[in-house]
Amino acid sequence: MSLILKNASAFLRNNAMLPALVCIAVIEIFIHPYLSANYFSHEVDRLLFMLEKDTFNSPMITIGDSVGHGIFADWEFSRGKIANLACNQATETTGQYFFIKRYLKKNHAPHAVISCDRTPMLGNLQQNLTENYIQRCFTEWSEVFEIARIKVDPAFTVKMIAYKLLPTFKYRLHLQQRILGSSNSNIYSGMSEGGSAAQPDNGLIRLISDYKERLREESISQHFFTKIVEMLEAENIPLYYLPPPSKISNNDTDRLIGNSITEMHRLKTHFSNLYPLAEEYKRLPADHFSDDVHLNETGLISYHAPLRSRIESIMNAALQLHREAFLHSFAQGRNLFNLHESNSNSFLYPLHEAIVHTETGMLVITSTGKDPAVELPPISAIDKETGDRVVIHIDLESKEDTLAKIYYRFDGTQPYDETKSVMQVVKSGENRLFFIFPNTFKEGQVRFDPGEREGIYVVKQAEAKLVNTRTSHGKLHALFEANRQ
Amino acid sequence: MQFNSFTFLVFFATFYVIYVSCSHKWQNRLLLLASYIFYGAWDYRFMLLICLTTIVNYFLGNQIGRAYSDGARKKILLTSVVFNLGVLGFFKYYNFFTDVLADILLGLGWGDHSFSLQIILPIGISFYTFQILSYTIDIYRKQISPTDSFLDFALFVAFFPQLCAGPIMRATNLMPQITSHRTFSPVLLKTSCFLFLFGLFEKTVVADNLSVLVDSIYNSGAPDGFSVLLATYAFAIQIFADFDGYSNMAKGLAGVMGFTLVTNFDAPYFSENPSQFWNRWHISLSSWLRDYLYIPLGGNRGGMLKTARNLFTTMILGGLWHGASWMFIYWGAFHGILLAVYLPLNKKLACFPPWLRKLMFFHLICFGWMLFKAHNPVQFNGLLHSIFFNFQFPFQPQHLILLKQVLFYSAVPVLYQYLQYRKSAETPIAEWPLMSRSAVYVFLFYMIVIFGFSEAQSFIYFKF
Repeated sequence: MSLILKNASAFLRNNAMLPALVCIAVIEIFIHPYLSANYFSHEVDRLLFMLEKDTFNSPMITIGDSVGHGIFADWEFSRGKIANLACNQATETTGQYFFIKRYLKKNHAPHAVISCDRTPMLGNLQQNLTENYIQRCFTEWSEVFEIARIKVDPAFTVKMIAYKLLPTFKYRLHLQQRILGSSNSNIYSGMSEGGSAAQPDNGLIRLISDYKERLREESISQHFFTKIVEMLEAENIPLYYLPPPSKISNNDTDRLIGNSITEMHRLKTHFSNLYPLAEEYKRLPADHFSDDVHLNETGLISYHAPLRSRIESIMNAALQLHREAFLHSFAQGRNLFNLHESNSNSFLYPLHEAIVHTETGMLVITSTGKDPAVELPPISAIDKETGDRVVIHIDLESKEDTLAKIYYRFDGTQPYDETKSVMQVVKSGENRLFFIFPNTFKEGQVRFDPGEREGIYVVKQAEAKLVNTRTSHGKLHALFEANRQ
Repeated sequence: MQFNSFTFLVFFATFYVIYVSCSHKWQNRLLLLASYIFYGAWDYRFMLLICLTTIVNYFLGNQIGRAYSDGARKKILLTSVVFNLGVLGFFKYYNFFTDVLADILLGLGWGDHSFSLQIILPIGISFYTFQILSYTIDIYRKQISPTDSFLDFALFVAFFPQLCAGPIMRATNLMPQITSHRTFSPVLLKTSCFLFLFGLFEKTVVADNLSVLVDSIYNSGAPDGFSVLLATYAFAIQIFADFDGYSNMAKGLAGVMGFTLVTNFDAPYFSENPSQFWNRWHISLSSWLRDYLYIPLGGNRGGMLKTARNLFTTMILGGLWHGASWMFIYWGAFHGILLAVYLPLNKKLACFPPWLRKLMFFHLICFGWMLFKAHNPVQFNGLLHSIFFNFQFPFQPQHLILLKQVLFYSAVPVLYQYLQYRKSAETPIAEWPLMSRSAVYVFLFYMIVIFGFSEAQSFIYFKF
């Protein structure tokens, strides 16, 4: 052993490989930004680049295969544009999981996720296109490790690491095209003519790999589908499975979708936010399809009409779920102050253009100008390190439509300013307002501006709680932005 | 499992870590196990065949060694030859010869018969059969003693770096390396790493890319003369890069394990005549054919005619060794004729400058490669016709792209062969300064990463 170490040391000292390795590392580090910004092989590359560079903050995201992608391509509905992460069957559910994960890192959590995929539970990353759509694209270390753990194929993992460490390898076909005017494999599929070299049928490696697959209790797609549901459940986001339509003559799809829905019903016993919409499965005539599975223009038009209203209702149902979940959390929250439990005479302190008086347990604010302001009791949350948020609930009666705001500051020496404010639309009549504060604000003073008009505002209830919301700030704002009851 | 695959990378890395930490005895056992796994990766049934062949030849080799009379020794050797060639003949040539027989019967009007069987050709069978034959013949010739260790002999047969496509090793060379303690010298390690990297470059960058171009032209319906000419030159580079690439990788892998394999190629396209060519091309096979076939046939004893006959016979059998096809037989015969014709011509050609002799002979080799590459005589005639009788050069953009690609992929192997030829060294860059060698490594690395085929393509010689 010592001889080997001695030789190895001499080998390293005089070997030209060391400077070569340093040179390669430098080239790879510097070339990466250029290559990743300029070369895209297919839709997965583009989508991942967009997820890295842009923010969407869409109210709804869709995942799925190319059929799902076609159905939701460039879709907008009453609450905004869908973030269409449905891509290609080659990414399998594994890719969909990582799409959502990357999306949630940079964007507000959506109100709902729709999965539109023919085979959400099928796939073990063994397709011909797996290399170009999974191994080459999903190369964040966490992704590599997560796939390696479930795939248990060292050669598969090593190739992913090669793609991770060597951008020139990842973009080699584009570089070939650039240098020679042609590439030795198709840039889109990543394969040369005749497909990829498969392991021989009776080869030991193939036999071991087949045996390993037989031992699997669940497919890799099933595993990642469960992880998607888990991840969304943790964020309190409902997942709706919308089976894509199939040809009347295609019984295979029937069976595949039937199996997926059965599996989802099994999962639903553990995850309450999973909704398989089996009743939405449609069989359409053959002339609605451009091939065996993809809808053509006629098919899309005929399928979209009922789907549009269905998506609206899904969104409303999702919002209702969030609202109920939020109200439930609010009811469970820890009290910080409450009008009915305190001395109503000193509850509000007028600051500007406001006169406050009490009437049968309610507070009446008379605004003498267009900028009335009163100060609420100070906030002091004991558990500052938790992810819980301060939420102020006010039942307000107004004579006219206006805008209510609550400003916050961390100590009395700072002035109140617009950057530290939360607002809600106020309609004429009775309003139930929830002001949700960023989770950085746990202690300080709050100023309430009931409206932007002169006149009477009646505060029937005002309470502040520290609430475990399990959901993002942005989404909660969207939930209550229009002060919907 | 191909050397140029990620599966092999993982396999070898795992194997090597264990290998370097083992004692000599366990290194050999581990090597044998790894060799069987490596071979079984193609088809587990191949392992049974190689095991059977190993057991039979181990037994026969020992029997030859123990036999007292020459007659008994000869009988046992004959048994070994019949057994090995019988196995090779069955797996490789059965369908070829039964098809020939069926054609003869049909020609004689004795009915349409088919004797074909569904036989899978075990990878590398021609290589390890010849390697085993050299073992039993050398024992018979008393050049070596039979080994007592069955495991050592099994490793000699199945040693994975050279199992599938050579170089064909002799027992006189490989057995002592198996039985004696191996050392890892930094020089051998450095050379081996370079050989592996260069072999990988030759295979994945040069051979695999040229194979796409060559196949697209040879398999197209009616290619123009310029394209055929270009494809033939490209094939000459492709087959060299493919086989030399494998040999270099095999040498490199064996080298990092402390073994030294024989050199298989030595700048063959810089040969001036067929005799030089066969001393530079697939050296392990041509020397095997010389020692175990040509010389026993009489060699160059007995005048020019007998020598020509012996050369012709040896080359036809050499051609047939490559595969069960008439085209390989024609190719062997062509080289046999070349060797025979050059015997009297060599002195007369001396008046030409060396570069012209090399150029002329290179074109004769290329003519041979057309025979080698064509699927049948009809295709060969078509290719010849388009070059010699109907040469067209339709100046189109795709021709320029083809030319550019052939030049791009051929430049390095041609230059490297030239350096090998000039320096008479296997690794001519070994003496270069450190930074120049580093630059070569970086260049080879990026050529492999950017232009190499990421899907492992099979080696041409695996099917022989």
